[in-house]
Amino acid sequence: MERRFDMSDFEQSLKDHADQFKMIPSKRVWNGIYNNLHPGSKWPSITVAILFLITLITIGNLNKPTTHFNAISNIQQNSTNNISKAKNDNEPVYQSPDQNKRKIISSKINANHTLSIISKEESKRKTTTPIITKSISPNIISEKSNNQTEVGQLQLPVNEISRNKSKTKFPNENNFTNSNTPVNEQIVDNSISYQTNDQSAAPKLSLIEIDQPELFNSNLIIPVSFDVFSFPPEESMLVTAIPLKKPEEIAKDDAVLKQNIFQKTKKLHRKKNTKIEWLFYVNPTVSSVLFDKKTIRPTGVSSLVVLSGQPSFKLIHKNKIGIETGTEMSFKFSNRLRFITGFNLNYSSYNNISNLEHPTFTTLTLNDNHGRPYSKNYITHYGNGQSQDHISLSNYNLEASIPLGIQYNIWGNKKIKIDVATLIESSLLLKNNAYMISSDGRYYVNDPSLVRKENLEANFGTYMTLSGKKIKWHLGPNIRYQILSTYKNIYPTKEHFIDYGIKIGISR
Amino acid sequence: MLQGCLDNLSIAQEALYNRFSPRMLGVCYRYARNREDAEDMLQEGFIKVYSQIYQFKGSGALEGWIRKIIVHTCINILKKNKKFSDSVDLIHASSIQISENNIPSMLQAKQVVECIRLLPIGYRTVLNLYAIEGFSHKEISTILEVEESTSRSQYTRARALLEEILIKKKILQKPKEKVRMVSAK
Repeated sequence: MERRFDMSDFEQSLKDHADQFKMIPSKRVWNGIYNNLHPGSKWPSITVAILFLITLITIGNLNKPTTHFNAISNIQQNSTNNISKAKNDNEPVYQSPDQNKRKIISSKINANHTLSIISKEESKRKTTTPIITKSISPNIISEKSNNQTEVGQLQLPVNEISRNKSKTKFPNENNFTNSNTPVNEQIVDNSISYQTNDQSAAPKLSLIEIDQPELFNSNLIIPVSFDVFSFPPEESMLVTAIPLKKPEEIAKDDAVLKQNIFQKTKKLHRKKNTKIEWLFYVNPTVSSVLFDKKTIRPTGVSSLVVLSGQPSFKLIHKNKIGIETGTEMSFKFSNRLRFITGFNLNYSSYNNISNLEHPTFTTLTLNDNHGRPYSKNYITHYGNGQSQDHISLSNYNLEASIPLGIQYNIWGNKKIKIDVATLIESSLLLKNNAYMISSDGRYYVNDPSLVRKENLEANFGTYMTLSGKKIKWHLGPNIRYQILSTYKNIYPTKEHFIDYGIKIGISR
Repeated sequence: MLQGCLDNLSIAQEALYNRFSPRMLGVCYRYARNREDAEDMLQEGFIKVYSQIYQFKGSGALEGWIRKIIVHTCINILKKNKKFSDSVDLIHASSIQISENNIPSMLQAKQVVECIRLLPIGYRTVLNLYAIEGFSHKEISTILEVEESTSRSQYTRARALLEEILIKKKILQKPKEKVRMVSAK
């Protein structure tokens, strides 16, 4: 067989020159080779990204506000008048009770508003005459002092131009009708409907003529007589501020979190370290709640609300589906022991079974910083679910957590392993909704200022790990318990979320 | 590195790729019509390398073994795309316009390669296989599915044409004896 080099100078030179020639290939060549050799590597990040998007969309739909207004009521505290400011951009949902029953028998009620009552002096500085164009569901914190009945003003937030530019009738601070006709007939666009046959329960408003209404993004001041509100004498009240995070800020936080998660998953394929293992998981859960209610006993002051002696009611809560998703990094200490950390998002919720009531005053008995009890008043129209017509009030938490813990391998071979893991998660509340039962157990009220923003959870689970060719599957049940109460310590009732779930994870 | 590739570790695979890909791309570039085709050949070749790495017994250089796979991959791609159909049996040497404009000014190694790429695909392939890769005409006839005599004649013509190109470019000095010019007819 003839072999090649019958070597002439020409051929040798040609070979030498050709062998010296090099070219740097573009990135796409290696990417193509890598994807061909490791086809499963992109799926964990794609799966986690899809699950995260589904979670965000689901949570967004569940918490879609039905109406919208933005208003700020000022909070001022002085020695005689405790005035609160409330900032709230959720939609008011209250309309006439009939309309409410048709429209709001769902779990999407989200009345997080506060109406504040300011003093007459304060009202004189106001020059606002807008018209409410949407209904408002008030959760009024009333205020009074020195046993005097004051004429204040009902301050309602608006954010829309009134369609009716003509002269408008508004409640007169000195002239109250005692009629059973709905107030919405007295206000131009029928937005406020305190329709009631119980004259003692609802605030009664009369009308005054005002000038041409204007485009307004401020407050509607409706004078209201304090005669309507019957407060126990010598009872000091506080007016609350209810600041809420705007949806844009929450969306921005979610986008930042999402970016962080994508960046974290992107870095996973750079280097393989046998001691460090990354796990991406999703954990569908069933969320329930555990209560630990403390009763406040009177301390000799007759004006305090006493819980003992109140009739007991059976409160109904329904579990709901939640989800947890995130990433974990485990570092191998020894053959059996691993240290775990990571990042996750958790959504837990449950439903309170309630019913619609006429707007009613109720109180929460709280503890101040020194442990002394005091009362906080609210106006609500959510009962405790004892009547026939039920509605659902959703309590939910959306949290971002950083878990820290250990994982111990109790049995295993090359293909299958069984581990137990225990974690402590420090969490930050991103978004929530919380309805609390009143002190007399008859109504539900909503006060976001009482909700704790940081919390601790304990997580315990057992997992089976199946080692495939290129990826490992993790599967197993776990339970997550909220150590600290959902509410701050000033609210005596302790609420703890418990999530039961099955963790499904992928690692390499 | 070799053991890592056998264990399908991406780090080892990337190290192997980074070490040999520049030279292998140069090999592919001599067979391909353009850079994109050369990179496609390189990608397919390395995928075959990784999938057949267990066959490397360690006798001989790893580079030579990889090069052999790359060359076979290039030939297979050319045959699959039927690049030979209009050039192996046909002689278009006389139609090639050799001028200074055809050959960009580069380093000499690249100049030589660019000169080789000026040849028709059939000439170029035979020249690459025989003069540079070291296959025999019998092996070339098996690879390209042509007669051995065709391989010999194609190589003779390719060499003559390349010499002419290199002389024009002044990369090669004109030998004193007359260069055999291949007639197109």
